Amino acid sequence: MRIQHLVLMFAVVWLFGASLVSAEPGYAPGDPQSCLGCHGEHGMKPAAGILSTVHGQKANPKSPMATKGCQSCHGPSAQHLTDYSSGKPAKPAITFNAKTPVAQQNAVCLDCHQSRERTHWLGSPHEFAGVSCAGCHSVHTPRDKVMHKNTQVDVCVDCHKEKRAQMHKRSAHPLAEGEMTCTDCHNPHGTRGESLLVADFVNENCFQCHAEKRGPFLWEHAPVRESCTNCHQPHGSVHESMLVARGPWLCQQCHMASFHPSTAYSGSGIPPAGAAQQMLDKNCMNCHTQVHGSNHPSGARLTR
Amino acid sequence: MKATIEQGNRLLNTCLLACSLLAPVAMAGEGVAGKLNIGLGYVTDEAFKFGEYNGLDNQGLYPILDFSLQSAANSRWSDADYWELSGNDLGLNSRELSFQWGQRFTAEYDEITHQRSSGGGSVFVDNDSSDLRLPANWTAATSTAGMAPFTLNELDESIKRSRLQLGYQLPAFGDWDLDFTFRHEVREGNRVRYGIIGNTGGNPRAVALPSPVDFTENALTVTASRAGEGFSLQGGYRLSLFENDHAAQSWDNPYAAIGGWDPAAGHPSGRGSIALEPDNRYQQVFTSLYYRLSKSASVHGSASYARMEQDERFLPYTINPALAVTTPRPRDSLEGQIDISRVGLTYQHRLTPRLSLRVNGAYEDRDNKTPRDLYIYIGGDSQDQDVAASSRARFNRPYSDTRTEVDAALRYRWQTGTELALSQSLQRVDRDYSEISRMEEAVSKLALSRRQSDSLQWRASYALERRDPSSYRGERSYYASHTDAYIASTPEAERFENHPLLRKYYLAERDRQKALAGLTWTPSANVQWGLSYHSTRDDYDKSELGLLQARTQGLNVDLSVIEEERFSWNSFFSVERIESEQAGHSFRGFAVTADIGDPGRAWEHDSEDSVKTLGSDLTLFRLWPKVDMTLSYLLSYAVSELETRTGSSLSAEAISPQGDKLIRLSAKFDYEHSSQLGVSVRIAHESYEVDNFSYDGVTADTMANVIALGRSSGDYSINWLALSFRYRF
Repeated sequence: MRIQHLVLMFAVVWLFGASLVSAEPGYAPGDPQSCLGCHGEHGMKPAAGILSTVHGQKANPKSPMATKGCQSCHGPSAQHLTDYSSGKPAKPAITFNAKTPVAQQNAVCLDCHQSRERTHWLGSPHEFAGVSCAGCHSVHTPRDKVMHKNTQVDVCVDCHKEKRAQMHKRSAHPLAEGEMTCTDCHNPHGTRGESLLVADFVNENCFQCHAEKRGPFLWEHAPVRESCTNCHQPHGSVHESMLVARGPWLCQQCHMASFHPSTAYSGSGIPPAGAAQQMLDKNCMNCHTQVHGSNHPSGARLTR
Repeated sequence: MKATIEQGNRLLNTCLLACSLLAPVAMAGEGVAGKLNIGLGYVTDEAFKFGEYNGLDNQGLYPILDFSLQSAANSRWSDADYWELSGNDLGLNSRELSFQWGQRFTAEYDEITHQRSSGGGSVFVDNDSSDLRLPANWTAATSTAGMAPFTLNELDESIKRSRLQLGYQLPAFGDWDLDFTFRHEVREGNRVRYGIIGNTGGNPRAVALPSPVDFTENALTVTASRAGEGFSLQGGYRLSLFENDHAAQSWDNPYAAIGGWDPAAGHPSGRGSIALEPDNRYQQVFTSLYYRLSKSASVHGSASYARMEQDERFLPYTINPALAVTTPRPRDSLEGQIDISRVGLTYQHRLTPRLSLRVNGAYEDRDNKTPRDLYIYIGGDSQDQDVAASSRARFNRPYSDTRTEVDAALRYRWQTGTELALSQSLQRVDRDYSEISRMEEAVSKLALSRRQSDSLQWRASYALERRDPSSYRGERSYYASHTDAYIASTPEAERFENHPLLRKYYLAERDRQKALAGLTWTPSANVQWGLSYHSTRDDYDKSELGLLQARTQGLNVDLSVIEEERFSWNSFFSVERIESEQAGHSFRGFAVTADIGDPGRAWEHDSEDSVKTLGSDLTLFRLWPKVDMTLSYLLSYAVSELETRTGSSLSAEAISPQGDKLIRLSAKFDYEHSSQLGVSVRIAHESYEVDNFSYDGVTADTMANVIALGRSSGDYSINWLALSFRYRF
């Protein structure tokens, strides 16, 4: 095995040594062809897919391939080609797995990707929790799963496992259908606001798709103005409209006025025993239809 | 008929798109690569729930068309620019089309139709109108029981969302990157809301209203960012303009006048009107700065200032001209404005190579500057306006709040792979017009994780959140809403809306405990197990009425087995239980004080939702020569147990378990004839059963005072077949 590697190494140096990355001290020559000799499409730890991505654009001065090729990210790795003293090739200077400290891995990526959506990375919950860029991103494949609508959710639920089941509940945003992504609402690289939401506040986040609920309204519903999540579970619920609990009991957790708001609702209000208008169809919203706020001068009770 | 027309439209659209695609395909030269996926699918039945978001909402044939065109890999190698044009689901109303030119320009067009319900109908003649009219021969009565059998006008409740988003990155502006994003979004369709005529708790009469949705939003974001050695800086501006083509929804009253209404409010002269969502505007400026103070310390600051505005012209107090309005509206429009400011600062310091500290502070202020005025409302378009001190003379309450938050976190990493994190945060919220003026919440968290070995990792965390309002005064919102004259006319013991013993759950004193534990075990390079548990328990110990306790527990197991070039198998199982307990007290309006002392009028309600989800995907590579097969299974099974218990003065009956069960089975076969040509066959079956008392057996006239749609919960059993040909070039 060792002889085969040496033969391969000499072949690589002979073929590509003068053509691409100059043999700076510590750097392997012939990058990336020398690397792809082993890590090609069908090789071990295949990396040829990078050539279909912006990271593999030699003509783009911002691309790592334009400077030191694979070693722009993996560091000077001549020993990876020459050192087999342990019986297998020495590790590249930087590997994007548990062998390299996360901070060191991430520093490589941040060298180019510190601005724009990553401005808030340092100090963000994922950074503080020791999540590596490579833990979510795959730069060696033509399509990075986490960057695509149909596959992103699979990456996120790998850690956020409870969300995977929630999005299959009866009422949920269309994540399972691939019509929405986690990053429509969250920026995993860090944000100014809570829960890694892309907007500063929960409601502003929701208003990005539900701008009609923004108002301000003449008659506000206090918990609605404060946070949509007071009543809705955005990752999925077994109740209508992603509500955190079923009506009318959800409404009764805040409304206990005389007569119907304080009535004890039970099976006596549903067919065949009965037909309470506070229980069937849209329950309380059969009358209080404007629970998100009303702009009608006669809408004080959120019925207009 | 409607389905046939939609299918025709889809086929026509697909043909047009196919023709437009043939040109670039034909022109594809050496520098272009891509693939085309074209075929036909068939859905055996029609169900809104099955097609809720996926575009498969109609029975019958549908075209399959996906494509992508891009500069080839070898071209990307040698060119600084690259491009990609792709389209997915072009034969469905969930289609999307996108174009990317390098990192500079992106254009995305996306359509999605949300099927909200089907199977019912409205009593109105034209379901698409914002001015709903009854049939000329409508027979009115004071309740649905007295109405002659009526015909429902079929209604499919759906909203189509079309979104065009353009992004442009301007790279060369000195050291700055400039990003522009523009979004144009249109929502069209209808949704169902209810409208009532009536003015007290006893005399409202409601009817389901198909309400038109014609929303447009234009949004622009401009961001400038710059990054350098040890710093990054970002600033920008965001604008969103929302427009609704319909200011109001009006309808003919289908009910005859009843006691308490002005006779003119009844059928045929009576009408009702609701204000629809008003036009609004949102603007925000934002900035943030990251600066590395030293090799081990950094600071990150951010600030934003936003303004929401709404100034739609008010509707009149009533649409019925026969009703007397003696006091005009205080203003013609709201001039609503909320200013939102936020400042945040984070300091992070790696105190030693193993010990990290993060301190974070934030100040947020939502200042609702909307004018506060007195409105003497007319109850449900059914009465003359009150002239004396009245509960219908109400001040609007423009809620404001201010939040201050500080948190600190320490993380220590042992060489052995163990990590310990401790954090403590304090939040204070000050509110206007609320039952509590100040609320404080403290969160303490402990997290431990360990890489036990290369194959085993585990983590666990526990958090205790204590919410402590200054003092809960249930009558505060009552005083903020009513006039002094009305308050003076009310007995002092009854000056509240909700009984003072109630604690609204989002404001109440609360102890929350959150626990999380999980492990990942990789016994071999091909096999990975995952196990996790989460629990949240909320105790509202100070609440006598309202939510008393809530608890969520979940367990997740997943297994992944991948044998390269032979098979991959991914499975997961989740079980979640969500429980809550709440207490109430049934008050008769004339005897609130006496009733609260009567334990026979007390009630309790328990809710328990159990959800089991099982998913499995098995892919067998080269099952037969050149054939891959993927089998998928999904089960989502939810049961809700609801129980109401009452004191001796009340009565309650049991509710049978509610819930739903979704089963999805699919098999997909991919035949790779050559590296260029392939065929895919997909067969799927999906069944859905639901028990939901809200809709099961509820017809349009089941409720005495509500004319419903008579829609169904949506059980279905559907098969779906798709055949497509794939061509790569």
